[in-house]
Amino acid sequence: MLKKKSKINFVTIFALIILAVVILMVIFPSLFTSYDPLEVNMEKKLLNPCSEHILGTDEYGRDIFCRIVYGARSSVSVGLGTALLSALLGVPLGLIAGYYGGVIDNIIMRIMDAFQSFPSILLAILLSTIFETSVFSLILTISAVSFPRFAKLVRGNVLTIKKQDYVLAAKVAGVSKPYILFNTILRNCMSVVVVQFSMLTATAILIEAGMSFLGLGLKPPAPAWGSMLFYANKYINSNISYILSPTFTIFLVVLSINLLGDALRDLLDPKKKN
Amino acid sequence: MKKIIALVLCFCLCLTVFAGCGGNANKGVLTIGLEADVDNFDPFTNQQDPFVRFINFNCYEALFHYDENMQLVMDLATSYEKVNETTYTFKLRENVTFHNGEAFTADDVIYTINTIKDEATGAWRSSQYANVAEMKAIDNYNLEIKLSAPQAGFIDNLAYTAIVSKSTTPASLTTNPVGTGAFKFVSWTPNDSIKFAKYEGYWEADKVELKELVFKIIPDSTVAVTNLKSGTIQFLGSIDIESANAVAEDKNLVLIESKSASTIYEFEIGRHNNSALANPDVVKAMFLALDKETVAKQVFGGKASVAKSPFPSVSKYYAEVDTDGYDIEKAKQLLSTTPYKDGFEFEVFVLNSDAASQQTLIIWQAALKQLGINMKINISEISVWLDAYLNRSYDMIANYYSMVGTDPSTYCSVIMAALADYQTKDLPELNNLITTSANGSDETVRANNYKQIQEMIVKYRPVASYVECANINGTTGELSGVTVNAMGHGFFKYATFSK
Amino acid sequence: MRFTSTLKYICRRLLMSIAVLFIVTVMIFVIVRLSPGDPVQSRIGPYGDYSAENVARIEAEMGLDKPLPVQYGIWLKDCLKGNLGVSLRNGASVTEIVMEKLAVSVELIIVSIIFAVIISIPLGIISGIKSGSPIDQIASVFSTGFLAMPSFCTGLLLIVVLSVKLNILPANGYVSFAENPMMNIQFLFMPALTLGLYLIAVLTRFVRSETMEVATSNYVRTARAKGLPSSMVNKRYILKNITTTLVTVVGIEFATLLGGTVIVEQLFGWSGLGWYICQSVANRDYPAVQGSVLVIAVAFVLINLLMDILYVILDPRIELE
Repeated sequence: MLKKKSKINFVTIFALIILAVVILMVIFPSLFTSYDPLEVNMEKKLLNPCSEHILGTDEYGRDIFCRIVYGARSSVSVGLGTALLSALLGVPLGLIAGYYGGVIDNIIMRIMDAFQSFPSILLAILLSTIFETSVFSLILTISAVSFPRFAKLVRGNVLTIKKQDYVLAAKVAGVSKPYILFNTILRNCMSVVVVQFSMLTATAILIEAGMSFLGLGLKPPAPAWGSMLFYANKYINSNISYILSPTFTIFLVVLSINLLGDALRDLLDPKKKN
Repeated sequence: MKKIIALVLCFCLCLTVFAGCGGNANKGVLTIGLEADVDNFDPFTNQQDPFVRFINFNCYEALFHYDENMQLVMDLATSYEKVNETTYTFKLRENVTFHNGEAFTADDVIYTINTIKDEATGAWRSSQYANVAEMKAIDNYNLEIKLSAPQAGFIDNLAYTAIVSKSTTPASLTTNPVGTGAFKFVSWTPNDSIKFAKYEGYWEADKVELKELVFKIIPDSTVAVTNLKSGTIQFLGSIDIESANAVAEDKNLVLIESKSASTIYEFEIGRHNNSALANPDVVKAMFLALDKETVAKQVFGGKASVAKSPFPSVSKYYAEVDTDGYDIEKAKQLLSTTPYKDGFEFEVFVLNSDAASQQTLIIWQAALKQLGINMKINISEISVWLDAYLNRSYDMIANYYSMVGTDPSTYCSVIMAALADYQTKDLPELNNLITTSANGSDETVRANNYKQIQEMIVKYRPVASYVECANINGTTGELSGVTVNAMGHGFFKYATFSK
Repeated sequence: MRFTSTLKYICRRLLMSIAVLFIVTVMIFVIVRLSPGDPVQSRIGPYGDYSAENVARIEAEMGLDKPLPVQYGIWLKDCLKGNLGVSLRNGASVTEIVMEKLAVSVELIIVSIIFAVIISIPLGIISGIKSGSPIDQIASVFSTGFLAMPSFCTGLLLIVVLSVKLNILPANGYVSFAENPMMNIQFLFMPALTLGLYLIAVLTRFVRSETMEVATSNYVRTARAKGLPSSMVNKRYILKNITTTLVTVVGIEFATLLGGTVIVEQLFGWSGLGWYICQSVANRDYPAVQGSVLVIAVAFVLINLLMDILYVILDPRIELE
């Protein structure tokens, strides 16, 4: 038992270190690299990894490691932004649907069902045709895909919480409904929301990468992991590290967030631990 | 778990054994990869590259066509004569039949041109036949056409005009093309393939070895090259530079390039939308910051040369009027003399399928940043691009143009004339020159006019060309006899497989 | 008693699904119409005839001159008749193309599901029974890894290894089985493996937890205590017990993959429905996008409905809300 616990901690620490590095990349990219992510140098295009460029260069002679570092900014802002917006949309809807029940619940949930009856990438593709691409439009698009999950989860929790004694007691005591809803009940849903928030950040990064991979991501020359994949796909024969670098970066970051989410769940909700 | 891994590996091995067995076992069938499906087979309205380049002139025929050396080769006509500045006579080929069995006569040519002139058809080259005043069938095989004014590009236009049977309509041709070409339409599976078979009644049927001509739709260029390598297709039309490199590396594959580089890559500049871009000095400074040599070498893989004129170099009256090289210091200095010395921002539209222009823009974008000019690149789908293009709502838009024939009047009417109400509105002199030169006949006057037109375009840059590039196609080594002319039209009737 | 409540449940689910489908159709219609770009311009092309008559004629031909609600009504009525309209690009029947492309996608999905089921059932059961053993730990690392691995990463790695480095398989493309079975399988291999690896991760996790639940249940413990050989226990009790839930999970995964293969299809040039949707979005081919997305959404809702009902019928322990 003890042994198992220490293992979880080791994995969690690994995840935390990776995420700390990513956050540093977002705030102080110049700590990691002295190159300019936008500087074009056609004489040095598609170099393989060497001492000067540890991951090589892309088709414009830009340093790949440098673009990975600066690319963290857009990926992370899309990830966190989406999770935040989805929570802002999904949590109140879930609370209302779960608490009031009846027709309101039915209407809200059927709309959520409709949103969820598209595979998320498909809905994202459809929505992306409406907006001009920017970090904000990506957040909007991916949130539209993911907020129903929040709503459903919160609703499920509210259904059990609202039958609890302390909620009934508050009702009897004449506490106002919005207060019960957004204070008493919400506070008890918080652990689920936090875990879902972290999971959603990972999912959003994945969807953003997927969309960029289909050519629907941020416009060049902005460095972004998914867009790098999109362009690198053509040069798979010339410089393999060009395509492998963003691939592994995305994989590592998503894995770390997922691991962190697992750890959070265990921490916040001891019942679910197996 | 081990068993599973072993199983997977075995399966992989099995696949490898068969990997070499693909290929084209059935000779006599030429399969051609196209980057996109066509919308229809109506030669009047369809201007999609895949149709125009590879289908149009294999199913239909014109009176004559330009070959890879830009020489006219007679098809449905056997000869023509320019009687005077406005009168042409044509001798037509006898014993030619359409795919539906009807005999080809002068009336079919008259019907075709009348249909183009008819506004209801919506033909995209209708303006080029506006001068046709009278057409007369002297007999079944002799035709006389009278123009209302001399028109230098008239023969070029005819070389571009597929002749259809008078018993067809543009609507009937959309799904059932009937021409006189070597290949007869068989079937069309949208988004998958288009099948043609040899037309046994073709006037040159004894020289046609192919039994079938199949067009396979493969939008992804890397997929297309894979197919070419594996032999499932034997010809790949209009490929980009990355694919061309992949083809060049494979010793079993061959690149076919059009001998003359005639596709001009250009930016059309919205001078009417952006005051900075209407200032000739600002634009000159911007183009001094575009390293065209590097673009030609790195983006176009050495298959392009720097454009020195708005016109493609194959065109008549071509003059090297644009001599500006790459000089970022000079650019900075020039910009500092203008009101925009502190820089400005503008947006460029570029097609998502046009990788070469995108790469050029990114190189240019980095250089312009040094001048304090912020270029936003909008990579858009064809519909959004078209929206901007047709409404002329862009600051700048990337486009490319393949020359038709050799007379610059076609370039001027397709690209320049459309700008008269927009970016060249403040240049009435240029617009006048363009209209008068199209119909003129005096060679020295025309030469002089077109020199002036080129100079004015370079000075004000409503359109700025930067490189001209050959059309590149890939084939398997066993295929020969395919010709591609400077417009990128591929002719497959003499194709054969060696072995 | 159980029967009537089941019937009631099914009716309720049916009604809910119809409501969802209605919202879905409105959503698809609105989203597609909000997109920028004009299909009339796409059709006429850059150098074509833009006289007012010609534009009006083409608009009328495409049915774009009517007010939006009318256009929606017409579209919905036709859809109910199984007519998804004609492609704006080439006038071909969308229903036909979508069905054709659907078959291509389904081939890929089914092969990968079969592959995943074959591997994940034994793997999951072993991990479940011997939880904590090295096999279990390897399986768990594997599942965690592939769950975090986006499909294009898996796919790209496969391309790098199998096509670029080893050069034993073509990187991408599609040939129909009827045309050339061997090539079809070659092209199928990598996309199917990509989807399969992800599915293995999902299913192994699921089978493992189900197995653990069943293995610790009283009747299995009793069976073991009675001295039944463990292979028999596994077969008779565990496998039987997880089948019901496994069927529904596989069903739902199938529905999700119908539209979720977009990226894999694009990456490997497998010209299925997802690939077709990408092409149609780029071409602003309204009816084609509407039709294909509608088919996927309907399939998704119906399969989910079916799985829910199946689950209730097969597993009487389920509490009906």
